[in-house]
Amino acid sequence: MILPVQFDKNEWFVLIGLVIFYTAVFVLPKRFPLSISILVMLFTLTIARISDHLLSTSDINFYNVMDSGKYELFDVFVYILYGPFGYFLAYFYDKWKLKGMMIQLYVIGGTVVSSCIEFLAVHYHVFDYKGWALPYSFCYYLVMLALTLLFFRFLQNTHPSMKGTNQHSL
Amino acid sequence: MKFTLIVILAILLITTFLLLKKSLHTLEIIFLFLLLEFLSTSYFAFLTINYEVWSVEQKKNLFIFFHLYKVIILPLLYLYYFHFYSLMTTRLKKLLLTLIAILAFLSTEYLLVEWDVIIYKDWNYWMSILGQAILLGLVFVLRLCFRSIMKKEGVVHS
Repeated sequence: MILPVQFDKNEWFVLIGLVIFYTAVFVLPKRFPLSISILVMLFTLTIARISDHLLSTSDINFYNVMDSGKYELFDVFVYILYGPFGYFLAYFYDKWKLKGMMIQLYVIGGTVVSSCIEFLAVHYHVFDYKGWALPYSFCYYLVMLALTLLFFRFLQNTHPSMKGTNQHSL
Repeated sequence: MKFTLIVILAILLITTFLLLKKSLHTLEIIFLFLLLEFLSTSYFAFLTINYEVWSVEQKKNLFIFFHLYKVIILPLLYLYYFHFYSLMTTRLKKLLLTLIAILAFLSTEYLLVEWDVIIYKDWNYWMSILGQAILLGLVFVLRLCFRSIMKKEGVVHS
């Protein structure tokens, strides 16, 4: 794996983010079986990985992740950092038992939060835009957050210990 | 023509897998597919971007061809492997299946080389066999870990 060119603020941003978000995941009271938590986090980070792989290659390069266009060790950490976002999204969706238009507002709220974090990540040079812009990410998050919730609902209906817990309308 | 063939192959792989009577639990299939997507795109990023031992043809249809291969075809071939692996009853059959699977992965890669989608630079088929074997081993171990979690939760019993 390629190590950072210079260990500076973008690496610190990712490391601090990892500590904060994963601490929050472990501190929050458990709501779902471990397999569901793993799948929701894996879904989020894999979608992020595929998106970056398609949008940030040497051929179609809308942005770079971390110091270069190469696949660095800290790129992997960035994807791992995505995991808790999906987890929190599913967690509070389930905790607050959202229905109808509240789900729409929840997705918009989640999109705003995600865009703000991306704004910070751009500020700390985790992402280096080359033709990409934050409004594009806003649209992207709007779709992806809704998809993550749909995926979580599918998991709820599939896992034997969670069947019947899904009383939402999406 | 080549591009059409590979699109047909991808569609057939998807539809056949959807219609197949599954030997794996749905959660396990999802886990494997997501993991394979992550690892497959990472593996090809190492080869094409980091170490540049493969160069990818820039013609649009061949470029999409390569993306189809790494995002759909290869992960699905791995899924087929795990599906049939769980149906095998003896170690010998499992070993034979593993060898056939690696051969199948390599055959698709051979097509990519023959059709000039990718060009090897300081790379050969033995390295691909090694790479695919490592990838397969890694997915295998992680699948076992996830399966043990599912057993504890009562999702699967064997």
